[in-house]
Amino acid sequence: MHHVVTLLARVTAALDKKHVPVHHKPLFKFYLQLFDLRHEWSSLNQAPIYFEHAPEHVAMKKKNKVKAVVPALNTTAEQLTKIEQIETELIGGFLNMVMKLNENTFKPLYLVTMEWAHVNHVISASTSGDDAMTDVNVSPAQLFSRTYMFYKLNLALQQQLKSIFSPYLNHVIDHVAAIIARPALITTAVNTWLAIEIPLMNWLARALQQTTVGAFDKRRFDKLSVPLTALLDRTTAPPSPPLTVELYRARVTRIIKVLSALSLAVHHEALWKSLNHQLLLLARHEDSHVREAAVSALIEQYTVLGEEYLPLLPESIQSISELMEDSVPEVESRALQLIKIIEDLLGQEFAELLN
Amino acid sequence: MDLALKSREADQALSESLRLLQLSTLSALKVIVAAIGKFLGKYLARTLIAVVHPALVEARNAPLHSHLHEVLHVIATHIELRQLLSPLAVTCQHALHQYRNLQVRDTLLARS
Repeated sequence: MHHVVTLLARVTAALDKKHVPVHHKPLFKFYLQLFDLRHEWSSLNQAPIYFEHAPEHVAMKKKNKVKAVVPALNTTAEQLTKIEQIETELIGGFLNMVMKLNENTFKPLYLVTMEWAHVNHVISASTSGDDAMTDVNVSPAQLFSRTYMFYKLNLALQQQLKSIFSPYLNHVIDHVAAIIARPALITTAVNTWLAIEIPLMNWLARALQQTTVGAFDKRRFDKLSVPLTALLDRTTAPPSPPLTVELYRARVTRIIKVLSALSLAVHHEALWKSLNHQLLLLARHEDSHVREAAVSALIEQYTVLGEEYLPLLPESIQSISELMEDSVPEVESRALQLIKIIEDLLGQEFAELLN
Repeated sequence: MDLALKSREADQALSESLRLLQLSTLSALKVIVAAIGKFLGKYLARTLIAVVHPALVEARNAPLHSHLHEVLHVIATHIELRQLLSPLAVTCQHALHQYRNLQVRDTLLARS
């Protein structure tokens, strides 16, 4: 299969720009067909025991919609490496084709890719309150594979097209918000969800960093900031049981990046205020890991936004001073780090503010 | 010399001559495509299917792989896309089918 992908990538690379308007649609068809390789590959392997008992598999089996489904991450590391290599080459070829298109020809292809990834179906399932998609015949494994591929593709497009691609976030913002708030829409297996979360968060951070300052309005800010901050609460955020400390820390790093990029993109003090309030609430959480995550998020906010974030300091002083005396050394040391940043920005001692 | 050793040597000689045959075929194919690529329309699907055959793709032989990549490059650059599209579709379907079979084989091997 690798050689077919190589051939396709080379054909795309050799494609003359003047022939692109005639041939890009059939070429895109090939790409879309090959984007399903991960699903093709995973559906051939038998479902491991844990997935056989995963709720969505049992639910789908009851409805007689699927015979056997399996998340791609359960197969051997060698196979995974192979498929990753093929996908990387496939995405490289696709980017090559995209670079020869213009805005008018690229947009319809992107919308078809969204349709292929069942983006609109997931959005309607989220608004109707269903966890599984009942209106389309799609297996959980296919939904996972396509969603994963879709966000991997978005990340690659963002890296290539930079700020040109950022407005495309508007097309999928409802999908992003829906699956962050309720990952069960895509999968209930922790590992498979984390596989999607990584490219998704990386793309979000990049897209927001490269968007025009002030281009993001309140509605869209709330749509993303609320579920993102909720993910920082380890005790209530999916999955259940909670993530291990290592996985949680990795998640926190990704989310903090997105939150700071989001703050920079909105550049609106009133919106920062609501986010700051949510972070301060988390800084009083009973779980020390959550408190540490909240302080890390505040550090990033002050670092990225600098003096512009200082008007929010008066309402934060009380919480920060409490964190300085936290019973957990890690939280205390992070709080001291935060104070150092604030002092540098203010040019005066934090203790003076307390007095 | 015992029979087992003799048989191993015979196998090795056969695989070497087969490798040589594959190398020379790929070299010939490269020259043909570069010279008369435009007239190969009728044979392209079969050629592509042959080029992506697992016997070539899965071979652990560096010169063979480098020849294979050169053939792919010549096909991509010397044949017009309008001629390639339909054979490419056939090859895609064929490769997917082959891919499925190979994955089934790998899975069975892994389980055994």
